[in-house]
Amino acid sequence: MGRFICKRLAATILVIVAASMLTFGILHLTPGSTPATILKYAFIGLEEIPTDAEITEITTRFKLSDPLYQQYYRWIKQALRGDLGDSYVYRLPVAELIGLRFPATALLAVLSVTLSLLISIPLGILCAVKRNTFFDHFNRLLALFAVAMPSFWLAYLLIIVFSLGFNLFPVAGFRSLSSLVLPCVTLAAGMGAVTLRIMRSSMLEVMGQDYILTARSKGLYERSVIAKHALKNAFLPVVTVVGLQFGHMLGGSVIVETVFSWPGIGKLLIDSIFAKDIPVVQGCILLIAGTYALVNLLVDLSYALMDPRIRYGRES
Amino acid sequence: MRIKSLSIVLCLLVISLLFSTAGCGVKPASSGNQSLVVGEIWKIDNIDPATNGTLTMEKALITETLVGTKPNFELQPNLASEWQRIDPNTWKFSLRKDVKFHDGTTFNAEAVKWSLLRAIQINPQIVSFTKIKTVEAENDGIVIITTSTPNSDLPASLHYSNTSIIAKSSVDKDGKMIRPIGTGAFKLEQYDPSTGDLKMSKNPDYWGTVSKLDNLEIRALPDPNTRALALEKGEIDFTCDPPYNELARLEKVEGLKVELNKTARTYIIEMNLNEAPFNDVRVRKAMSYGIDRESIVKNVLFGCGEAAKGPYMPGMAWTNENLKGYPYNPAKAKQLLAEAGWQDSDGDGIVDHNGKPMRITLMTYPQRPGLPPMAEAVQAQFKNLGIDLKTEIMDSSAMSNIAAKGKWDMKMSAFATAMIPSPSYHLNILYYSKNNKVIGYNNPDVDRLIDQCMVEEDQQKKYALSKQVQQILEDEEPVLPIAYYGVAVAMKSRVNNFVFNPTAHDYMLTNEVNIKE
Repeated sequence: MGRFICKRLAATILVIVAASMLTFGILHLTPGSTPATILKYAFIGLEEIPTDAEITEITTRFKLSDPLYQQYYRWIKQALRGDLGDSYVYRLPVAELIGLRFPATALLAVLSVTLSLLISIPLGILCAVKRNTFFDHFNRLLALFAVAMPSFWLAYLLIIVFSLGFNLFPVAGFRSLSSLVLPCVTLAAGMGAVTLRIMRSSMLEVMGQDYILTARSKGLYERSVIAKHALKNAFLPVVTVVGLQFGHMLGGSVIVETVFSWPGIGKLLIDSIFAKDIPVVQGCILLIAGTYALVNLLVDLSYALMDPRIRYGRES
Repeated sequence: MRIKSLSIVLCLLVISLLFSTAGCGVKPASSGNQSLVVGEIWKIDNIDPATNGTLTMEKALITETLVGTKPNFELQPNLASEWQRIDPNTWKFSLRKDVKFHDGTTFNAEAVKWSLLRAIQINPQIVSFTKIKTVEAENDGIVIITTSTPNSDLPASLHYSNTSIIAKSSVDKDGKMIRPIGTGAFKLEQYDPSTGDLKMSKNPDYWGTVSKLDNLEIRALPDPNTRALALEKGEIDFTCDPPYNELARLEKVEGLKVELNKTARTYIIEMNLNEAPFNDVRVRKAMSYGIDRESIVKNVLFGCGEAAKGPYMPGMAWTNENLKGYPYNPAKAKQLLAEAGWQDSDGDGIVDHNGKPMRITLMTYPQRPGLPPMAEAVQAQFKNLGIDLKTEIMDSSAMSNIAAKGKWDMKMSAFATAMIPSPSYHLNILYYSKNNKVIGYNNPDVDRLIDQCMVEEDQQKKYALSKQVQQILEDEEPVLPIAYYGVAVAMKSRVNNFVFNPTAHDYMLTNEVNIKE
């Protein structure tokens, strides 16, 4: 087990370095010269024409004329020392900037994933148990709607109904507990629908297995057949999907952050990509790739805990 | 490993935040005696007046510049009471004596010197505008500014919000901005760097009329739909540019009012004049006649704007009001195209010349919501003329990059015409042959007149020279003006005394704005 974790951690670090290299390269391949773009987004205004003197000044200030590998080397050397550099646009240390934005993202991720699990897991199980009843069809239809609805549309709809109509929650902002509700519900709807369908189908598959038949023939109550025998096995694929969803959420959600003016990491990343604010993009990618890889590692570890076959297979 | 420990720290942060937010309740948007909550249209990256002066000066009313402008863009005294040019490169600015910064220190020549030199260090654009070489304090009330080249637009460029004067105590000992301490009608009380939200309180010692508002709050709400909804819900009192298609509906909501205004920005189409067919003035005129500007303003911009006749909107001191523009006339457009040799000879619906059909691409960017649908409207209108126009929407810097490489046809943008309130500034960057090689306009007469306009010191003569250039531009149509930029301001009916100032970049609040009791 220890060796497994070490191996996975090493792979995680590799993933992060590769991701940072890729982003760095791709950023320079996107159209628009780097100093001109930085000037437009941070100094002179989007529609202004940068002068040659301004371009020269920005190029020297941010050392943009060096070959790419040198710029990358300089960045990674600094990053290894714990210094992620300063943002060109926000003019703050990148670590500080991310520290300002990531909590809002993490809070939303934790709460929306929890909310989606609280709804989808019990419903998914019930749908499987009451297969092909009205309850099952109804919930599956609901899930289909939730997954097919674009999140920005759902977000506006929720605002119109619950903010404007019932006056329950604020329209936008990150100021109080009640401003968490609508963004949370918006994100949870899409995720929950997926989880519900996977939970249901995985449960159905397990319930068709021989050992369930055995358990039933032993005379166990249906309730304990489901809770003790079926559930544990049916959870495996659900854990994978939920882990991926959670990792994805930690990368921020641009649309929901835009609609609700939520100060998250997703919008920060997108805005910084447009502005070619390279240190911020690199910092965000580092964080997102890191958390994603870490969540995946945790998912794999939880497999081993839940499924003895995986655990024994590794140890032998 | 750093990352792992970082994420652990962050997770702890999240948990602590979860508990900390549980403590605070919802605060009503308007608290205190008289407060105004404004929904700002851009995200707020920083509050440094040297890069974000528009926010600190025009919206948050924290900072001010030496020179002010009247609504018709004529210069007027502000923090500087008067100025005069001593020699081509030297200027003398006399300062107001009754002004104090928000921290109680006196506004004086030393402060101006420090503030301007700091701004130049940070933002290279300020040097391009002002050409400032040195700033010296002659005595407490007089500043001597020298420029590296003669610049008759120095006073106009010192109106630009990024040259706002702030107190030295605005920064820490490393020169890092703590908070802008200006001379304006409001003092900054609180800034949340994660959301960008600002809270100001009134400056009771303001040198002008003290505001009747006690508090002013700015919330960054970059999504137009969200802004409209927040206004309807009552979370904000005032905002600008809700979605254009929402204007008519918002106007009918009880307790709200909507005003349509124009600002010094023009939707234009630039063309690659180095290449056929745009090197033929008849083709350019045909295209201009072929654009139904009235219909674009009415149907695409929902009335938010005005059909353009020339580069400058009406009402600016140097606008040539005699320009006739190119009213929609498809018959004349077709006739001009035919004169230039473009006719549909093979009957495929597209005009051609020497066997080559007219297929062109119009580039534009999505950040100004009016642009992409305008491009589509032009596409449809050009189809009537037999021109096959393709539209491409991309990021604005990608667009300039493509144009800079020389392989392009047309690009549409919303160009600011008075970043510097000077009759030569905009003409100089867009039409002077040396400055805009991208579009390739080269008219020695225009160059000469712009040169004269730039050095001329008499304002009236400056205006006359600018008007002359505008007339030549109308005759040659090197750029197609489409519409003057509209600004829709939406607010609660109880917001009182708001008068739109056309010199604003988006919208400009004043110390006069208050709330009706």
